[in-house]
Amino acid sequence: MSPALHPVAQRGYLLVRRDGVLWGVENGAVEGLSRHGAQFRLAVGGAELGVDEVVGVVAELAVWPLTGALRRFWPDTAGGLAVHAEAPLVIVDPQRPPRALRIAGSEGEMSDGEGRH
Amino acid sequence: MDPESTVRAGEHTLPEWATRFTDNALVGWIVIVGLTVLGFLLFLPGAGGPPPWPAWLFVAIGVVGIAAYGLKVYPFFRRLERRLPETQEQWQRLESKLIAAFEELGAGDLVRSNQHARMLPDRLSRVLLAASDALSVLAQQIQDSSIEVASSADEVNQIASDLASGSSEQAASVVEITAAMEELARTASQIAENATRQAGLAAKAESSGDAGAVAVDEAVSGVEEVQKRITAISQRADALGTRSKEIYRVLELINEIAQETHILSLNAAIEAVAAGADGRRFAVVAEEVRHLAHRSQESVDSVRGLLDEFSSSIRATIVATEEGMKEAGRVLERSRAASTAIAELRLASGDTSRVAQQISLATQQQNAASDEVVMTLREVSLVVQRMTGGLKNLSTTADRLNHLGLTIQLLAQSFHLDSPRSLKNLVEEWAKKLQKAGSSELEAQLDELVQGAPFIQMGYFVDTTGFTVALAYNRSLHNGHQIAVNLRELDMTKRPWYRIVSREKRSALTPPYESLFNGEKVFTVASPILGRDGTFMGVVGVDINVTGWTRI
Amino acid sequence: MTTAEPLVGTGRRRGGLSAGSHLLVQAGEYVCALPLRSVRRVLRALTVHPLPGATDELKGLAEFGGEPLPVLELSRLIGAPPGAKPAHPVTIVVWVGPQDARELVGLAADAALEVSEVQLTSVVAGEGGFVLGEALVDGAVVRVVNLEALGGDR
Repeated sequence: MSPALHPVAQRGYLLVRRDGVLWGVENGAVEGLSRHGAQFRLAVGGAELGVDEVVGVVAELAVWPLTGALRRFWPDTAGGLAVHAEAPLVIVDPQRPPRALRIAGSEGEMSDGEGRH
Repeated sequence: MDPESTVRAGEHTLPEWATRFTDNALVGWIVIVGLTVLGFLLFLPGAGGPPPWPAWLFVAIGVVGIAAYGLKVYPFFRRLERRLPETQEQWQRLESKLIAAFEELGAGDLVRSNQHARMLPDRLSRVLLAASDALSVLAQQIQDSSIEVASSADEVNQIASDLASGSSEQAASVVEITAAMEELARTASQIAENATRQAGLAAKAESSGDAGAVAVDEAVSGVEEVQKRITAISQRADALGTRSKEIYRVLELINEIAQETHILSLNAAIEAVAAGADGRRFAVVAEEVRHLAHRSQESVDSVRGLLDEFSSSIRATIVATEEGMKEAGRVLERSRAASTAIAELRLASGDTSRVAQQISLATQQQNAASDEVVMTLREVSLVVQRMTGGLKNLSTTADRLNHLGLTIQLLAQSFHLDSPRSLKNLVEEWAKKLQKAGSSELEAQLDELVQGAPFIQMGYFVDTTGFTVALAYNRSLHNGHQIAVNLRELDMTKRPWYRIVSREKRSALTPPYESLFNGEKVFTVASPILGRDGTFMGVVGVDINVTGWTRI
Repeated sequence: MTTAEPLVGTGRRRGGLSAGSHLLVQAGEYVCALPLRSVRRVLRALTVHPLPGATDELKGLAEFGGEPLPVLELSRLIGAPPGAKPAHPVTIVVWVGPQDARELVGLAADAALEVSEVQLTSVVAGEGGFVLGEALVDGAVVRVVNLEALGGDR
């Protein structure tokens, strides 16, 4: 295991997909889930997020922090990275939901692209 | 009545009826006297006796008879004797009038006859006028009938002429049809000859078709065999192509293995580096493995190259075999089409031969039919000729009828009737008008009269010297005919119509003769022109063409 | 220690691997040299999941050994013109960043060529960025990638 990465065990995640990318949201951070036409609306941290698919719920995920190289080339906010079923996924920071999941015109704190973990 | 009988009126001859009466009275007186005497004598008593009463009766009758004779008959005879010359004069006048009337009637001049008849006693006049009227009506009916006969004859003539014309056309058509039928027969014969030649050619074609069919069948068999061989080659090529694909897959697998091996060698080298000095031997092994992988890759590339060439050859072979298959298919199709065409040609040749025979037979039948038609047409031609002859006879008969009508008309016109259709009456009226006209107006007056009578060809006035004083011809009938002779230069006193009129002083009608004017057949109606004192001043005449008399 | 005969197109070999050993990879039209000590693994191209909002250099996230791995496009990092479509693309898992804060990153390349020696003293300094410099290996120009510059924040 690389010395720069530390797995962090968390409790229960809701797995969703948006634009082919797998996202994980801590169960406790999910404030609401509703269907909106062909999409789903996820209320997280006061923001309304839009997802294409609700994949499922996992009890545990090994979460790695975002690496510097990743942050360098991906300015969005996230709570970390994980792997589920041999596929990588991004953990949503409930306090700073990523722009990639936001819905246009929705309220919520906008990240300046320098999310820190 | 004999005109000379009036001469005897001067001899105081009693009329017959008077003579008969006197003769009967005398006889009666004689009888009475004789009977009286006879009776008296018969009934005289023999000796001294009184006569019986019959005797006295006879005496009484005799006395009465004598008294009656003396009182009645004798005075009557005396009166009669005194009136006899006057009566005889009256009778003579009546006789002369009656004679004149009958003479005019006998001459056909009913107008003058009627004039004389009107001077007769009433009953006699009525009877004579009635007879004259009946005769006039009869004459007019005869005129009308003659005109009808002539008109009918003209119609018959016209019909005969039309029929003759039609017959001529028919005859001409028969000739044309006959010629056409003969031409048709010649054409049919040529067709038969051509058909016979065609049959021969068809038979040759049929036999050629048989040989061709055999050759084509053999060719088809050969092509089918080639097609089978090509199909077999194509299948083998496909099999080779499939095998080459499998080899490609194996090569790809080997390539993958080589690639994996290459990566493995790289990873081994990486691990060797990580192992430090202990990993050197491992690094060598890794390098060897990498070389092996590289050689494998090169072998794969080499085999792939060879396989590409092989596959290319296979593809070319497959393409060639496909082309060959297509070409063989086309050749086979063409061969089969040729075989079918040859079969059809053979059938057609057979049909052509049969048809040619049928044509030949039909042509022979047609020839026979044409001959019959020609014979029939010849018979028709004969019939037409006979019909034409018959029509000519009909035309001749119509001409005779026309002539008969003219003759009857002339007979009817010989009567002078008080009718506008009586030519004599017409010319006499003209004579009266011309008599009143001055010499300078004669020709104009005559011309006006002639133009007003469409059936009159020419009118003329000839004086007592035979000189034609006035001359007029009908311009509607003249039509530019050439005038045969200048009539004014001729002495007309020798003309028959002039001689009759000048002699008889009455209208005359000539039979048809050849006109000096235009050489055509005409008849003349002439009438004398008499002065107020009855002096003969000349003759007015009109010529009527025999072809136009029906316009009267 | 055996010395393998160099094959055509392979790099110079002398006496096994050394500190100058580099992994030569094809990135677009360029051949890049990655210091072998920083190379963790050479893999067949990993399945990469693109991240929305990422720069062109970041191809996406992959899974490597049960861990999430960001994958960068090596040709874009070094500004190499694009080449033909690679027949056997690879993902080179490397350590990036300074020695005390190394991170694993995947580099997407067109092909892994060979391990070759590149004398660090022969590297000609480049314009900076992620290219340390250029060197000649078997007569061909290779670009030595500065893996340390890849890691961490700028």
